[in-house]
Order: sequence, then structure tokens, then C-alpha cells
Amino acid sequence: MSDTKPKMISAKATRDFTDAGTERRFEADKAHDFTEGEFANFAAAGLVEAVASAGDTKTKPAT
Amino acid sequence: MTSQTAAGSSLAISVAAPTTADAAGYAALTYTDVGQVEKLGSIGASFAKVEFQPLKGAKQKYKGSADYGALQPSMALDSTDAGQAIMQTSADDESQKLYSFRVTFSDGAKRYFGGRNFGMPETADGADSMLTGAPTIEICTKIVKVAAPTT
Repeated sequence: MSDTKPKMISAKATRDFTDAGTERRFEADKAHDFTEGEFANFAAAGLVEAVASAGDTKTKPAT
Repeated sequence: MTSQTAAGSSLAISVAAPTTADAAGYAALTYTDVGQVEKLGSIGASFAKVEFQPLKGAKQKYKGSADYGALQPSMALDSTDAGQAIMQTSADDESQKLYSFRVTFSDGAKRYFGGRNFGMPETADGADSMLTGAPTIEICTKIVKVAAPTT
């Protein structure tokens, strides 16, 4: 079975912002999960920054 | 496509470029909707007119170079809107990077293209008006049209 679940990236919002398409609201200084595409868009605008976690940030290996 | 109003149409932007410049390539990208859009403006290519007036006979007209046009939406400025923030980033970008855009009509038909935002001036008009932003998105690729889904 193929894994169709999109890879999620945990990132911290640098300020309060809203996604008009999904109507999701993101609070500043809180970590949220984003798809890779969402993260690329929001990071380009400086809205989010990746959370540097102590653990592994890579995709978990398939089990 | 039957006639429809513009209500419900939307504009979305992606910082990514499609792997193929077709409907599938553009549809695979993740877009962020731009909020508070009031108008989208005109979208579509036009051709330069090349004219020749012979001494004898009527003026001849030929289609010259294609210009994919420019999208000039207007929107009420919203500092918390992610789509507007990305639009501002694309306006401030001094590189020649192409951003991907998606216009969706109310019936679900889509228009995809790559473009560069040449500026997003802010307008403070009279007291009884909203602060607005008016980007100029020069369309740099062929517009990919996707018909509305059949129901």
C-alpha cells in the first residue's frame, strides 16, 4: 500500500496570520503542522520558521 | 461554461514552479488563497498589431508578438492574511523568479500561469474607503485553462 499521507512540517508562526483558503488561523509563537507546500509558501513570506527539534526531523522510515 | 457572476472567484499564489507547464503540473502545487480580493481584473493574452499600408489597397493587419497580459487585482489590505503576505513578498522580490498563480471562477474553472509581481502599491483614498493594495502581476507564461468540473 502506498503512503499518500503528505509529509508534515512543524513550524512556529512568527506572527498571527490567517489562511483565507482554509480559514485556519495561526497564533504567533506557537508551533503548527504544515504540508511541505504550505510551509514553502508561508516561510517565503516570513510567516513561519521551522522548529528546530532535538529529535529527528526527517521522515520516519516506512514500517 | 454558462454565464456566471464574478462573485466567488478567487486568486491564489504559490512560491513553487510546476514541473510541467500544464494543468497537472500546476494542480500539483500548493497554493495560498489571497484574502479580501475585491476585483481580479482582466486575464488573457493579446497580440501586437502589425500594420502595412500599401500605396494601393486597404490597410493590411497582421498579428505580431503575443503578450500574455497582466492581472491587476485590488484588495483590502489585511496584515494578517497569508496570501497577501506572499503577494507582498513576490512584489518585493528583486530576482526574476516566477511565482505560480491560480484564478478560480465560481463554477470551478481555473486559470493557471506563472508571473512576476511588479509592485503592490497601497492606496489610502477618502475617509469612507478601505486601504487597498493593487499588485500588477505580469503574466509570463501561457495561461493554462481548466474547464469547470462537470457535475
